[in-house]
Amino acid sequence: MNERDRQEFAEFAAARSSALIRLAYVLTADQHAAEDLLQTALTRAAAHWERIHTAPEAYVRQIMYREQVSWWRRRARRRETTMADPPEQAWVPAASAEARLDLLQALRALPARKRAVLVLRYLEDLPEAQVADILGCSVGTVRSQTHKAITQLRSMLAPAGLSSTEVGP
Amino acid sequence: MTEPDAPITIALRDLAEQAPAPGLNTDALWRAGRRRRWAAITTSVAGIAAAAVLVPLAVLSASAHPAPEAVPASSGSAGLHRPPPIQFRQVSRIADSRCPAGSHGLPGTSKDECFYLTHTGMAISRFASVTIVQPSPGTSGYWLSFRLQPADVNRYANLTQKLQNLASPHDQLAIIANRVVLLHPQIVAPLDLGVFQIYAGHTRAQAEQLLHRLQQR
Repeated sequence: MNERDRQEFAEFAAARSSALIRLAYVLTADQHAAEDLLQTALTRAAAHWERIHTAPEAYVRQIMYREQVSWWRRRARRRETTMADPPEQAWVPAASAEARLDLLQALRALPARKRAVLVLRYLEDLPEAQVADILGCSVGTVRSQTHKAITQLRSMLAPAGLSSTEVGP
Repeated sequence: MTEPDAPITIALRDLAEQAPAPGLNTDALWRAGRRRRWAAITTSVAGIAAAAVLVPLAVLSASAHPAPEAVPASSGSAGLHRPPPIQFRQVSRIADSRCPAGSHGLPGTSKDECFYLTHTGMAISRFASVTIVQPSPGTSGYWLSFRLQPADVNRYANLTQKLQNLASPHDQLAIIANRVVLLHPQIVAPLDLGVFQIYAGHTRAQAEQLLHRLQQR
């Protein structure tokens, strides 16, 4: 055990834990689950610190995503379901305060894997190929999950009578 | 990202802002991480700094379970009865990737690790007991406390004697059930009492899952 490594790890955790707990919370939508997820990721980072200390945050984030959507790794042995037409168009509700709160609740209610895809695509603003790489799945799966997530958001919000707009090319 | 996607992005940011304060004990996480990798292991050898938190348990175990009678030492498998045996094998190499098809490696619990093992090892039909313990209130993590059957104690003592203080990862002992490496503790002392503790996870759920996998054979 190296004292300098321990100090580096402590400094990294102190500096980045606020940002990382936010990511964990967006992924889990639950305080205790978020804390568990972050602790699990940091513990694994500590275990491999010699190898990852030059870029620990990317490693920690990837662990968090993969822990949260580990089902994809099991699913990888099966054939992927891909879509003929990627969902380039997005659906968004009207941007009123009420609609914003409803969208927030709908995001909380999404299954973890769909929320993770939206986080990577819409919050982290990553291209599909990079999302696929992080999650260990195909680009086609990223597209289909994004489409399904948006469709589910739409179905959850539609009964509330919110106005919506189809946008896109 | 296109402009019309902004409400989803904003909502995700709103959600992120509701996150709790981190409140981490980084020292505890560091120790847990190092133990996860090297899975520090000890019994009656009090004073091993890397496993200080385990010392009270180790002393308790040592006093409660004196060394049993001698059993011939051996390498390789023994006690092949149903249920399938638990194997202990020396680690030769750990690759940070899934085991290639057709390789001799065995997967770990994370699926991102592949363990290559030497022929040094032994097998047991079962543990006398395995229980989940938390060293003391306020300390981080959960541990599995193992007790070997008396007939296995000396073989295990000889095996751990061979591995102690070798260069990493040759000082690690893979514990295998159902062809999966569930644990790979570093051997820092010969374990001659048949009682030892291994770090099993930061949460009780992780420890319970590990225990379940050890029992599900």
